[in-house]
Amino acid sequence: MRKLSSTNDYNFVVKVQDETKREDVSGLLKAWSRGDQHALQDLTPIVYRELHRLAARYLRRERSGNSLRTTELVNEAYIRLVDYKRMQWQNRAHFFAVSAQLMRRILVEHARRHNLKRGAGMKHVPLDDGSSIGGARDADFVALDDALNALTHLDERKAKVVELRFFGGLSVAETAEVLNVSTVTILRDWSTAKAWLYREINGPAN
Amino acid sequence: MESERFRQIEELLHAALHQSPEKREAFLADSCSGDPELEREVRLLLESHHAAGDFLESPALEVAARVIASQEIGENGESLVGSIVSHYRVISRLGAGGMGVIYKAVDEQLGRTVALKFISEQLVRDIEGVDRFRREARAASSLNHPNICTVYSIEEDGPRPFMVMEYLEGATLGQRIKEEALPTHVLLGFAIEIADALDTAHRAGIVHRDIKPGNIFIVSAGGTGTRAKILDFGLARLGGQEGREGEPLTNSGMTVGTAGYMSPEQALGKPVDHRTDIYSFGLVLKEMTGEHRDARVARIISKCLDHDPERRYQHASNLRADLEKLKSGTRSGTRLAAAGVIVAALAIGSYLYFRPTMKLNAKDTIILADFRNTTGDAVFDETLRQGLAVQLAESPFLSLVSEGRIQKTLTVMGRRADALMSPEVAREVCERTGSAAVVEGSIAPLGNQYVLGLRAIGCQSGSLLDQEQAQVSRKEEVLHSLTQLVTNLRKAMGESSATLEAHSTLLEEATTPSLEAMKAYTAARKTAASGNERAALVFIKRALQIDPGFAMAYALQGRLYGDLGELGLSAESVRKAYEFRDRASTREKFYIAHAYDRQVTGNLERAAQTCELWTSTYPRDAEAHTLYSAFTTKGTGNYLKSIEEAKEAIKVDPDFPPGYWNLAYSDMFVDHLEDAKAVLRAAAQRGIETSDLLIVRYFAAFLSGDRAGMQREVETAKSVPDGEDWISQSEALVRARSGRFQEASTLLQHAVDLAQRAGQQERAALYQASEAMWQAYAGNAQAAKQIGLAALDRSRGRDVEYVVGVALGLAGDWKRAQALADDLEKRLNEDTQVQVIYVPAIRALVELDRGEPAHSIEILKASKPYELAITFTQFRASYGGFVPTYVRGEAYRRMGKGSEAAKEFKTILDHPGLIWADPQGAVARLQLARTLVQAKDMKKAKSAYDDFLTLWQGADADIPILRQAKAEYEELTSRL
Repeated sequence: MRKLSSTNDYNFVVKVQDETKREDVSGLLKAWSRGDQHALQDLTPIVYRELHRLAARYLRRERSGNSLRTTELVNEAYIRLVDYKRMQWQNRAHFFAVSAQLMRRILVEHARRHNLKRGAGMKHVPLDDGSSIGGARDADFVALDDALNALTHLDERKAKVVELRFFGGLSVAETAEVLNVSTVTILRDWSTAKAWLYREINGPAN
Repeated sequence: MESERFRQIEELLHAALHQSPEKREAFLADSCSGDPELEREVRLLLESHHAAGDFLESPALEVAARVIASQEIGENGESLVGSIVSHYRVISRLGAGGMGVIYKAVDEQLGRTVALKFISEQLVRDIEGVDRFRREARAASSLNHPNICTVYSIEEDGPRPFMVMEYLEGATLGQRIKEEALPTHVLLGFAIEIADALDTAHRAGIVHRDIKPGNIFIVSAGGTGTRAKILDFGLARLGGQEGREGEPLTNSGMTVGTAGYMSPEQALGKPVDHRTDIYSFGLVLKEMTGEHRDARVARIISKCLDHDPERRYQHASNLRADLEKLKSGTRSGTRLAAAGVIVAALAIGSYLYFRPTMKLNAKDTIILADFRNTTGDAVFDETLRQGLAVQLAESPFLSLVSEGRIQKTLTVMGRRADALMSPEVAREVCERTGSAAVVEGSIAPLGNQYVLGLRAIGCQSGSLLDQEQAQVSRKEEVLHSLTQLVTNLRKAMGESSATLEAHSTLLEEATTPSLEAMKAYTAARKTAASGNERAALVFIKRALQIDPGFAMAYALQGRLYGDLGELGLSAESVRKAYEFRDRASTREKFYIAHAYDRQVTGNLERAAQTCELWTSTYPRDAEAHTLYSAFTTKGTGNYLKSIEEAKEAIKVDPDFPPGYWNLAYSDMFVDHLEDAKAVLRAAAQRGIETSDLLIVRYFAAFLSGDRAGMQREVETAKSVPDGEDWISQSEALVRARSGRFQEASTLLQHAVDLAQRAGQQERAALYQASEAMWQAYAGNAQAAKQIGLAALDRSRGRDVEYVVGVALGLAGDWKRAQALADDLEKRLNEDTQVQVIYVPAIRALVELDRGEPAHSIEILKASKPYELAITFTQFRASYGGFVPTYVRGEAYRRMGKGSEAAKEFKTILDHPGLIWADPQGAVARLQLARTLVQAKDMKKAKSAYDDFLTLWQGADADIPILRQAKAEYEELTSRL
């Protein structure tokens, strides 16, 4: 007699579990850079998963009072997402650029959808009147995205530098490689862009 | 700004940065001479450069993850709330800021309410940061002023120090001036208080360094009116801003202060003294008084804002004196305009310090009012309310009062059950149902655009809990914007970001992107609610024509067909819903998954898993608990779980009928007849009446031997929808059980006719098949075959095939029986009951017919785990259970194993709550008697025969087993 049905095909209400399938991030990125919008849909949950995994690890550390540096956790996450070292890209720089752009798209969209900020057609709701938060202010991805778009008009390379370093998690040297300029130029671009974006997002007082 | 200009500014910025701080001023003045605008731009950028700190220095992924983590900690309230820290009992979380999290707590020793401020993990990581936190906080705690938030003490809890502070209620100045324009004299009153507080602090040598509207709190003090209090004295330097020491606190230091409120010297990284606070305060004053300030105020402000500290007010006391002079000359009642929209949209994790919002708790329910549509476009009518309902039902936190309960309340209020839910009516329903809030929606035209609005109003207080608004440029974006508004509303009402994140499917993804399809769907729901399923189906078909991938519409279609007894069509709809299940809300996905396993695959284990997940995700979803308690658990004999879930369903929604009958059924199944009756009474008290309840009442009376009660239900049945055919079939079973086959046949024919007339072929067939079965048990093989095949002609439904298969097997037609078993096994290879009960039962009968009783026993081992589970035939037509047990008993009997056989038949007779009036129960008595003879227990055998013959006293004379029984009885008594 047939055994009672197994239950392993029941997964559509549960989020697809971590290692159930090996996603081809590289392939998806290539597809996306060719303009395949479905690839973005497929990449989004992968990034979200990594994001929440990272958040959960921070949380555990926070709760256990573990104050070790957490840089390696982030690096690990970026590598899991976009392990360029294992990927056979003809154009490494192109790959960097595409993955940074992707992170920007996804994280901004995430903020737009979940951070309850300014969405399309929504009223502008400042959640606060200016508090002393460095980290949290950084997280206003939506405002940053707008500001970056504005910066692109003034100085496209500076906007690219920010995209690569902040969203793509690239080092100064890697950024220099992608943009084919010296590291000094990157550092200078970076500090100008930072100051400009900071003011653009937080606004001058008077 | 032109790119060229930008490059010029950049050049100057970097050149200025290469100068030492002392020389920067001169450098800027020199190099920008003749272009004040250029100088201003460079200065602003320079200020931002200093203020930017580690802005953007951590990768985006890290920042985003930290925000999620901090929200987790903050909003789940699972961090410290409820625990005891030192001698403080933590009550609730008040907010979080850059410094860390703030809690409301009670000092158990002193019995007073306090605020506890824990510094953030980021600061704890830095030893020096912790030291300075202690130092600065200690200094601040020395300040004792009515307009400074008092720091009581600094204490340690493990590695983290925390501050114990005065607990304040009210709002920050920033929030206050945003909300309303304050009268001048009130504003000046606050300004004087702040100046006085600053004066006291400055005299003590303490500089605030981060004066801004968000750090000034307006306390709503009882009796004495409002009062301003400065928060966070001495904490600014913690943030790593370059202070007098000129060194940042931490390498990864946070940025402190909004660039906008810093004095020039502070922004330029020069040494600062108390006059930096005066400058910042000038900016606050400017913001407080808005654009239309009068000239005297403007003069005071400009004196605060002089770039040269030497030319500002030198002491806060001078400032206070000027403000006092001004105030005494101001008539109260003059209003200054409120400041405009404040810049700087901050991220989540915002500074919620002491924000006095009323939030809902997880036990509150809410009511939906109708959507107010003033656009004149009928497509929005009711569509948006339905969309809102779908969206709110996504929330495990908020719980909508069910439509049924609302309709009942409306009736009690003397209104029609389908009355419009105007805000006033909704408010009353809200109060009567003990709900917390009414959610109202509106859509209005604005030029070519729309303004979409949502409001939540506390129905006890009438106060506005939350208001959300969006401007939507295109009709197609309305559903999308509605999702966002609902998400905002959910958050504002207190839902945690964790559940928001997990359960907020975009409306157009959860339902349909087409407003027209949504409108048709809404109409279908409404029509169905009024009991007209056939008309509702017309609307559903329209919705599906517009959007053939509309999963929720398929799901509703499945329900409607199911209600109409069209199980095949219902299953087909469910299959479609399942196919498009990605396009459904989280909640609806559960519904679809469950329906798919119940109606299409029959996989009860997986259906139960879905219910488990569903009820744990939406603990207040009455339907989830009800479906869990229904056939999903009953069909595997898990009655205790069924009872538990049914009770939960009733608790969640006492007006949801299925909760009651599911509980009553399961109480009966475990032979708790009195409990079942109590449930039935409770349902009656609520005025709940359905055919299921009727049937349970009828059989409860039957089990109690209450003939009058049974007759009463027969009468009642005429006025209950779907009641008459069902009760008629139940009466037929009761007659057949006593061997009164002719009467039974007549009653059954009536039931079959009624079902057929209602277009319910499968139901008719299932009724008809019951006669095939009892004729087979009674030994009327010919009649059994004939009736069974007739039933099969009506329907090849799964349960019909099963019952006919058993009847044919009992009647010796093993070839046809085997064909039916094959068909079932192949067609429903995942179906729990088919695989474990139906198919083994028929195959075991086939083996009996072929003279292989040992094979039967072997085959029936598969059924053992579900021995006491009711079959779906029992659930729908009150017969057809215990077949494996009966066949096993018969197999043992044929093998000459009397006592084993007796045990099987006794099992059947020991469960009157499961067997009800199934004629099998009567035949089992006779079989027991026969097996006892075989076991040579003549005394018990005689009593079993007596039992059977008494029950069949009024039986028709020509029934084969009755004749056999009488002959066997005579032989037995002659031997005794």
